[in-house]
Amino acid sequence: MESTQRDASQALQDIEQAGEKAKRMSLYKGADLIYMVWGVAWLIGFVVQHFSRDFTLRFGDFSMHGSGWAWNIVVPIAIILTLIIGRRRSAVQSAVDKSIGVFWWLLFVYFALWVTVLSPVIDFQQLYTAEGQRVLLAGIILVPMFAYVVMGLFGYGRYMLWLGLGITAANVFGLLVIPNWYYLWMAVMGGGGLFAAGIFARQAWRRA
Amino acid sequence: MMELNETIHQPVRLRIMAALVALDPGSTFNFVDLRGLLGVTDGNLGAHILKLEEAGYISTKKKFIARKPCTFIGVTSKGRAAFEEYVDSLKAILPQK
Repeated sequence: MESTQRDASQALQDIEQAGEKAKRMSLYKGADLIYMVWGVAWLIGFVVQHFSRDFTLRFGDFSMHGSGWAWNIVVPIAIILTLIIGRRRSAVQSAVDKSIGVFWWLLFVYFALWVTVLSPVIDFQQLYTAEGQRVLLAGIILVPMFAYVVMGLFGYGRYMLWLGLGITAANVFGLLVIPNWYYLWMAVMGGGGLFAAGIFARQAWRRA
Repeated sequence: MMELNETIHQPVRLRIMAALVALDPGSTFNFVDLRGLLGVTDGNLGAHILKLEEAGYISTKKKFIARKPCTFIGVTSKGRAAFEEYVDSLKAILPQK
């Protein structure tokens, strides 16, 4: 009877360990590389934007502040890499994967709708200025960070909640308190934060 | 002595079931990642998966991802119920607190 109790206790421990490892792999494998990709994308985008502050785009008589040109390159690359990594590296295919994908697309659709509905009271001329583009970028950042907060609250890893809240706070602080250093600040806090989240996730699923 | 489900009560199969039951219902685990998680060989994992599939506890699905065949394994409702019964049997063996 004693060895049977020992075997039963060991079996329950094995069950718990295997279950925990499976959950960690489900949450973190695949997500680790995605965070790192976006961390690097943000780092490049923000650093280039900081050092391109005086860059102006001219189209005939029309000119606009063009420091954000690098985003037109890094964001599409990061999106493509995200789709590839999500498809190839995820350990688990979940029944809600498609819903999560739709959720992300809908977020940005709603953001666009929100801007459209408010357009009569928005001065779009401001978007062509340095300050306007800084505000626009800070506003766009709130969208994925809101998604992280929601996913963190609904069981996709508590770390997502803190990542979303942390970068949101850094974003607002940078915009309102240190606007002249906003881009470099977000390169470190946003890009660095995302990359650090990737390292955290990588170590989490590899933990024995 | 309590009768334990012999299909599940084998170290590798036990951990296979534990890993699959830990996921959300309807989720499936990639064969390669399950192998890595359990630290077993392809052949070893394949043999145990076959045994569990014959018992109706798991199902497998083959898909092509980036032109490579991938196998995904998920627990069935029968398997989930059998596993829960197995865990209850284990707990019944332990002295009551």
